[in-house]
Amino acid sequence: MSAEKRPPKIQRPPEKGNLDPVAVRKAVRAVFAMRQAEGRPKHTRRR
Amino acid sequence: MHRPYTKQAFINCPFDEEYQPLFQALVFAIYACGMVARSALEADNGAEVRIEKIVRIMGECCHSVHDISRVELDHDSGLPRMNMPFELGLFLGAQRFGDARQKKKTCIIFDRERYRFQKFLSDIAGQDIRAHHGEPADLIRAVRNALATTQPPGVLLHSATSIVERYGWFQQDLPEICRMLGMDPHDLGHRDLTFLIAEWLEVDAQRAAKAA
Repeated sequence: MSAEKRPPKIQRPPEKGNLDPVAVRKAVRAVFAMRQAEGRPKHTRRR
Repeated sequence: MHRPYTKQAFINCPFDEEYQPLFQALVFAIYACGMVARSALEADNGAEVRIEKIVRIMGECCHSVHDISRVELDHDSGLPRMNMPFELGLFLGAQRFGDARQKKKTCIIFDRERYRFQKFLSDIAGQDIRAHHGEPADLIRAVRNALATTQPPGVLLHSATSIVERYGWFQQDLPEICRMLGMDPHDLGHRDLTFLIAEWLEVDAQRAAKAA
């Protein structure tokens, strides 16, 4: 198939109804940032 | 997520709503110890016979946590709940009669009180039974301390205090994370919960690494 006729490559979004792992990571980061703004330490102490 | 045999822990516990606080704490503790929590809940395939599914998952797990605290009469039927002792026996059988890999299996056994099991499951007298008293923090501490003994020499897990603290924060964050994602925090499947726990711990670890 020539390049002209080849269908364009599509970056598939997450299937409809499925959670996007990137969105999950963003939500978790957002909540961490929110808690930090509320006064929670930036991360837990590791002992 | 694929993890080696020695990094997988089988959970044998009640799955009802009443047990949810302990279940979430248990899953969190296992992930915080660098392992993957497996249970019969992870696969809901009507084509797979339940016992086959349990045996398959058990076979893939080196470690296990069994909670026999709820061997009690069912509210509706008036009959005792035997699944947890049965699965404990199955796991001990795999460890006893299995191949070299299966012989590496380890068990953490919980009851509500430490010596109560002697009244209904005296065959396991001599095993080290731990009590969680219905408290998530006690459960986390015991799981962490037991799993710490399974680590190779030189590998240290985070302290129980640190994991308990982080579990409290995770619990605080979970409703907000679910709200952002349009999920119901009271209706999370096993895979939803484990995914969110793993993500939360990963972000926490990244922030700790950055701050170090």
